[in-house]
Amino acid sequence: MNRMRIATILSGLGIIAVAIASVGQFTWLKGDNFWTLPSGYPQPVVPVDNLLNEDKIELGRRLFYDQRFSINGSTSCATCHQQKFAFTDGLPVSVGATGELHPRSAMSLVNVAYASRLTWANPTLSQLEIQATVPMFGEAPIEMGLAGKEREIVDLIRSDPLYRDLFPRAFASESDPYSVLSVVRAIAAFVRTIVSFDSNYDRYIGGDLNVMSGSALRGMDLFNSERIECFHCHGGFNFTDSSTHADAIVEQVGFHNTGLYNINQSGRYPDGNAGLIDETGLARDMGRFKAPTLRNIELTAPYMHDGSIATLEEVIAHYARGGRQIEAGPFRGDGRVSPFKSEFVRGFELNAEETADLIAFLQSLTDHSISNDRKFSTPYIEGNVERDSAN
Amino acid sequence: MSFHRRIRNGVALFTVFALVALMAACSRPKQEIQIEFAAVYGELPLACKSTQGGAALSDLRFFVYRVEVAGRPAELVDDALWQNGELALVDLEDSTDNCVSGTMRANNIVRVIVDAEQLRGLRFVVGVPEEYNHASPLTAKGPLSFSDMHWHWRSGYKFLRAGLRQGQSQFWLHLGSARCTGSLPEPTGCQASNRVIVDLANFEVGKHKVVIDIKQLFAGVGIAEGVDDSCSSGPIEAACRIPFSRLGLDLESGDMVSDTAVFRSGQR
Repeated sequence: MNRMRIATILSGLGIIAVAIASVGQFTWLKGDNFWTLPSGYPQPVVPVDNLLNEDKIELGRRLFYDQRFSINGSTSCATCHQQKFAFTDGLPVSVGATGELHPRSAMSLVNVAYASRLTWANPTLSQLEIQATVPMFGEAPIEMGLAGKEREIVDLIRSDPLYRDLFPRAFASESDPYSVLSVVRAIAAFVRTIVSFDSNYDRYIGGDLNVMSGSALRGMDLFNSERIECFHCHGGFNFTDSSTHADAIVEQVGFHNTGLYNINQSGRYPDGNAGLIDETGLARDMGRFKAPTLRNIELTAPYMHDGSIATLEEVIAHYARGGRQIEAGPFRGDGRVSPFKSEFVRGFELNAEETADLIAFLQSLTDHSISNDRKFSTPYIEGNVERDSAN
Repeated sequence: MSFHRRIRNGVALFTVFALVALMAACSRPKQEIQIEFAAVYGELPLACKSTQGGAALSDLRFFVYRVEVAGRPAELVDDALWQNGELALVDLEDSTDNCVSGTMRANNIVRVIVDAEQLRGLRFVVGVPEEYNHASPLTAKGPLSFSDMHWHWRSGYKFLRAGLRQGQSQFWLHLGSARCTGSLPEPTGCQASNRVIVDLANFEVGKHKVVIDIKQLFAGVGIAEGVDDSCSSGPIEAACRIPFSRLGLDLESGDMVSDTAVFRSGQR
C-alpha cells in the first residue's frame, strides 16, 4: 500500500527531475523514476551519458539473459547472476564459459546502483559500464570470453531482428546505435533498476511495526550494538560502507580484513586472491575486501569473497571467534591473530538464541520481490524470444 | 631613436630570424620512414608455429609512443587503424597455430615522419600515454579500440601482451600500469607506471629492425621445466619478477631501473 502510494506519486511527477549532483569527479543526474523508493531513501546514481529509458532497460534485460554473448554460446550475465539467488549463482566461486574457475564468488547485483566501488577488491572500478567489460572481455580468468570479439558482437546486434529494432529505440540520439558501448550501457541500465527496498525491515522502518518478529527485532539490536559491531562495515541504508547515492557529498569506500586467513601466522591470504593488496601492493591492504550489502544475504550462500563459508550460522561463528582458524593444509593459521585484521573484528560471545535472533534479522532484509519480479526475469524461454513480454 | 623606429627594427630583426629558421627547416625535407619489428627467440625467428625446439609465440602485441629518431621527435602517421598521431599498435601474431587468442591481421610496421637526414638512433616508449590510458575503452578509436588490449580492471590498457608456449606449458605476460588510485575514468594516478623505455643508439633506419627477444623476456620463468604461469603486472605477483627485470622495470615502483634486455637492434 505504502509502496503503491509512492509509486503513484513518482509517476504523477512523470518527468525526470533536473537536479545535478556531483560525486567525486563525476556529475550524475538524479531523479530518473525507474524504481520505487520508500520515502526518505536516496536516489541511486545514474551517469549523465547513460540516462534510463524503458527501451534501454528492456534491451539491457534481453542482453543480460542472452547466452550468445559468450565465446561458445554457453554463458550470459545471468549464468553467474541468477535472480533466484539475488543475482548470485549459489556456487563458492563462479565458472566461466570455458570452464575456468573464477577465484571469487559472484557478487549480488541488488542495489548495485548504490555501490561506490564494484567487485570485491578493486580501488578504481566505480562505473557499471566499465565494469561490464571485465566479465565480457576479461582473460584472467576467462568469464564470457569475448576478448577480441567486438566485431562479432556488433554483427550479432545488427543482424538479430529484435536487437535491430531495440538498439535504435534505446539509443535514439546515437548516430550509430549498434556498438559495444551501447551493449554495456543497456546492460548497466537494466542492472541499475534492480533496486531493493521492499523487505520486512524496510516495511518496519516505513511504519509497519508488526511485520518484524520479536526475534528479528532483538537481532536488529544485536546487529547495531557495539558488542557485535556488524554495523560498522555493514551499516547505512544499503548495509555496506561502500555505498554512494545521488546526494552523497563524500563517496564512502571500505575494504576490510576479517581474519579469514592468516597463513602460517604471517597474515597472508592465498596467493592471487589476497584482496586490495593485489592492486595496491601495500602490506596494509593484505586480505582487505569490500563489505557486500547484506540485503537479500539469506539468498546468496555460500559466503565471503571465495565462498569458503557455507551458511550464515558459520559466518556469525567466524565473526564471534574474531577470525577463522584453519587447522591443517596449505592455508593453516589462526585468523584471529592476523596482524592485518580490522579493529572491528574483535570477537564476541553469542548464545544460540542470540544467533537465531541475528539470523532472523538478516532474513528480514530479504526482499522477495527481487527474486520473483517478472521485470528482472528472463525474457527467453527455452531459447525462444518471448515477444509478448517485450514492453 | 624613436620608440616606433625601435619597434620597427625589432620586427625586421625578428623577420630575418624567422626566415633563417624557416630555410633551415626547409633544407631538411620531411620523409616517411618505416620502423620494422620482429619476434626472435635468441638469434632465431619466432612465430606462432612451433619451430625452435618446440618454442612458439602464443602472443605478442604492444603499443609504442613518443618515438624519436636521431634524437628528434618523430610524428606518427595516422592510419585510423594501427596508429593515430600519437601511438601505434604493433601486432606480431596472426591468430594461427599457438596464437589462439590473437587477431587475424598482424602489423609489424610503425610509420613515422622524420625531418632528419641522419637516421641513426631510435627511442620509443612501450605503453599508452597517460591521457589515453584510463579513458573509457568503449569510445576509443583506432588502435585503442581493440578489446584484447582493454584492461580496465587494472585501470587502463594492456601496454604489452606476450606469450610463449613450449610443448604443453606456457607463460604469458600482460604489462600495464598498476597501483592506481581514485576512480575511473579519471583516476588520481598510478604509482607503478610500468612503461618500458627502449633506447637503441646504434639503430639505423633501413639497416636495422627492432627485435623483441622472447627468450630474454621469459628466460628463467620455468617454462622449459613444464611450468605454466602468468604475470598480470600485480605489485606482489611473484611470477612478474623475472619478466619485469628483463624489461628493465622494477615491479614495485614501476620505474625503469636498467636497460631493457628484451628489445634490441637486429639486421633487417
